[in-house]
Amino acid sequence: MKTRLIIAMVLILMLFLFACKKKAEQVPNPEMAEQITTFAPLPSFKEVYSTLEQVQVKDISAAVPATTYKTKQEDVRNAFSLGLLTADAVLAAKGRNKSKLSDISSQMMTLTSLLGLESEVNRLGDDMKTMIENDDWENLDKALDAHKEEVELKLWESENFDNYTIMLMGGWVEAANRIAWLINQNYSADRTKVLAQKGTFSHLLSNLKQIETEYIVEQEAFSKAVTLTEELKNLLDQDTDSTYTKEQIGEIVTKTDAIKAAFQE
Amino acid sequence: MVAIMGQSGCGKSTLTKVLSTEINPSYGQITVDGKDLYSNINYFLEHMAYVPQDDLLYPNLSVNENLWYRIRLRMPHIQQALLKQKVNNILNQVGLSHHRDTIVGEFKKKNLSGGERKRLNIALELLFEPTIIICDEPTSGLSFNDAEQIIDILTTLCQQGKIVIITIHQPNSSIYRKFDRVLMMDMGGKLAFYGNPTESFPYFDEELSQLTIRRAEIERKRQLMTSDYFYDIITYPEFTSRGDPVYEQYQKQVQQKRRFSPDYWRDKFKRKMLFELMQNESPDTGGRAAGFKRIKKRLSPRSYLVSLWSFISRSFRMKIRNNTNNLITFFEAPLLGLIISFILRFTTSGSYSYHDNSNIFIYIFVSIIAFIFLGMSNSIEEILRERKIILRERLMNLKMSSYQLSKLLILALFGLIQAILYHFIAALVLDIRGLAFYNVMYFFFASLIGNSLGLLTSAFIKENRAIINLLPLILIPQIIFGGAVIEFERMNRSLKLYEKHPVPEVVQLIPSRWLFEGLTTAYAKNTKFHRALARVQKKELTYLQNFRNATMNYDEFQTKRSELYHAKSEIAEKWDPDQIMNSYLNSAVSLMDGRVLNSDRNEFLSSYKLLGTKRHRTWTFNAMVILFYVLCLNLITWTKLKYFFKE
Repeated sequence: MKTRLIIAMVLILMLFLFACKKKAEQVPNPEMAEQITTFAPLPSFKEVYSTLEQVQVKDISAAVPATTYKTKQEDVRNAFSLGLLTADAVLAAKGRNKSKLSDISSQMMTLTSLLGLESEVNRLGDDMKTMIENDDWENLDKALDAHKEEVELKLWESENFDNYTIMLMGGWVEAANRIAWLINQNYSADRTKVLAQKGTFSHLLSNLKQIETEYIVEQEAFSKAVTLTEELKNLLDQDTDSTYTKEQIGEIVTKTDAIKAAFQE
Repeated sequence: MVAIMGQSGCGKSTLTKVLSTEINPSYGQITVDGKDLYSNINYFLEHMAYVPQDDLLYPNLSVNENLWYRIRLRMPHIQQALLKQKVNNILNQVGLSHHRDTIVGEFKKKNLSGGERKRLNIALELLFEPTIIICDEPTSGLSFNDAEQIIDILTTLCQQGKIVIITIHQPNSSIYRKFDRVLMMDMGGKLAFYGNPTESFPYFDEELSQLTIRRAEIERKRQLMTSDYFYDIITYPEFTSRGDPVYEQYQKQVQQKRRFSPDYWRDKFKRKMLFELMQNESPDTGGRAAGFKRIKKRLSPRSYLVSLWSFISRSFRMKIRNNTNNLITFFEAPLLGLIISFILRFTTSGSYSYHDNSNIFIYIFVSIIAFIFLGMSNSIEEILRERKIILRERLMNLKMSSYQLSKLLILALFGLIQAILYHFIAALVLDIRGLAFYNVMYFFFASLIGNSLGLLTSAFIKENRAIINLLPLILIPQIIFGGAVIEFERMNRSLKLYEKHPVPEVVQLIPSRWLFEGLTTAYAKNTKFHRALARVQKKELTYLQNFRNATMNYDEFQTKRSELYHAKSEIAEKWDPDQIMNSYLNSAVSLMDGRVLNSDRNEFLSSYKLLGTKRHRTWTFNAMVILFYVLCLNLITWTKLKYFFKE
């Protein structure tokens, strides 16, 4: 009996050890863990849009680009476009511009195949359609935000930090561009404070510089965009008590336009 | 040789059809050698031949091929050389050797004379060496010489020990003398006389003596021994004392009253024959017939395949030799493709782009309907045209399943050619790329559904006119319920059994709805771009898994990921999504996909189909549904052909 008990205990112990070994295999190795943690999660560009609360709906609607942003279909460009169009969609939702929202939603859905984000974006598309039909603008805003987070989370969890960063770049660049354009229409130094996102752009630039994937770094559009983002970051760093002059605002528009154009070449 | 004579409409053909078991009598009994015919049908049918009044010939086959397929289908287990020898012998016997390779053609084409056609019909039956041969009006519409030839062939058969029963309206005296027995029928199928031809003339003498008007003329006919004599006496009118004919109302029509009614002739014959019949024969019914019963022979797998192949070969030859069919196959489909695609080639911007063409929805739907229609028009006459032949072949125990399968396979082959030609032209005009397989497959399936519906209809209708009336009845629901013309949400709510269902339940029965949805979702989400990308994404997941399991280090993972970026880039270069995908279709299908993911229930035009807990791609799922429908429709047709196909 005693022998049997000992054998059983040994077996249980071996099973335990085996199970622990299996679990240990699933834990990322130190090298991988290091790589993951160096990419910084970035905040939502919604921060910048907070200034829109003081702007009339029709003025916000006018800030939505007349032409839907389009690039050649390619992984990096699609990631950038998806981020940018999400920013445009939020703007269009705040401006209650139904037709523009539909166009943006359609364009977003054409980008997702390459990025492997079809489910997330299609669900957003359906929600948007229903909410637009019901004039449910409050919830639409929330839905856009929730889905944006969902997409970001998926990219993050699938270790796709490159596309995650590029997509956020698209969002932030477009948000900065549109808000700067809006402020430029009716300048007020106080309203420029929302653009003082130095920390975010610093993290964004840091993330961009960490991208090592040969395919991405070899692309001229990408290196041009990184250079321009660095210039943009430097520009944002030159604030005066978190405010910017009218000229600086104009320059922000020019720089962000140039980044957008870089991916369209 | 027994001749059944009588006026038109007296029931001669009905009698032969009953004797040949083509139609079942509602009462009465038929015995052969004292054995009940219907109780021993399988046994007797092996020894009986029936040559109907109408042609049972395939016009697009040669004389030899008509005979060859008939014997090959019925005797698939016999060696080909023996069968060929048999066909040659029969051709010699009926004097058609010189027409061996002549295409039979339609009656009007006169490839063969009326007599030759009739001889070929008889030859078809002689292939199986029957003991009893029943011919319905074999000399009808033939010249004197042709009629003589036919009767000579039949007389020769009698001399070989066979029983020949023919119906004949007015044989000349030379033919009349060749009969061993004549059976004269009066209206309503009443028997007026049965016996030796030479006895037949004195049999009517009693009535001849009672005639007043035209008596001399009728007497002359008696002297000449023409068959007109009998009709003149049997149908002799009643006259008034002034010599005017007497009229009577019969079945709402006014007609000349007859001096001797059908009942009169029946009673007279009964009186004459009753005693003889009672003396000489005591018919044996049912009881002892059990010994004759034969179990239906089961074909061996090889014989089944030979038979099936012969059916297929026969169907193919008939189709390929049909010029109208060839014209429809090789010109109509691509022409339709050209017209439809040319009209729908449109974008709002100046230069044309498939990506921005908002008419692609309509193109898909119209193409589906066009193929259902083409499939139907190719097949709707198939069974109807061969109705009489099928009835005959069914009596010969030929496999109806093989017949139907051969029809479907050949129709499907032509449908496939049409689908390829149509797609090739339309894709060229509309600049559709990367969708050839699914496009052709779905057009082919639409054609297959059309074929199946056509065969089903063809099995049920008996007249050509019905086709024109039935076509709209079948096609209009395909258009209305297809999902493109009227949105399901806008249809009458009474159509729904369950309010929350997005699609009315009745719509699920409509094939065009599945075809349209399947092809539309394939256009949106299953282009070559999507398929190539799916393979790369599968690899990406594997690499990620390996990286997470630490079987791949970070550098390797990055290298692989870079390779995948390159691969994706190459795919996007080769199959540019902005050219290969239609933005309107993509948006619509993506939205419905989102709805399915949000609501977890099936939606029309989504590229996912939920079945239990499993998620399937719509183009595959719908293709399976269509194949299931094809199976169901053909099962109904088969049941009709096998069990309920009647004159």
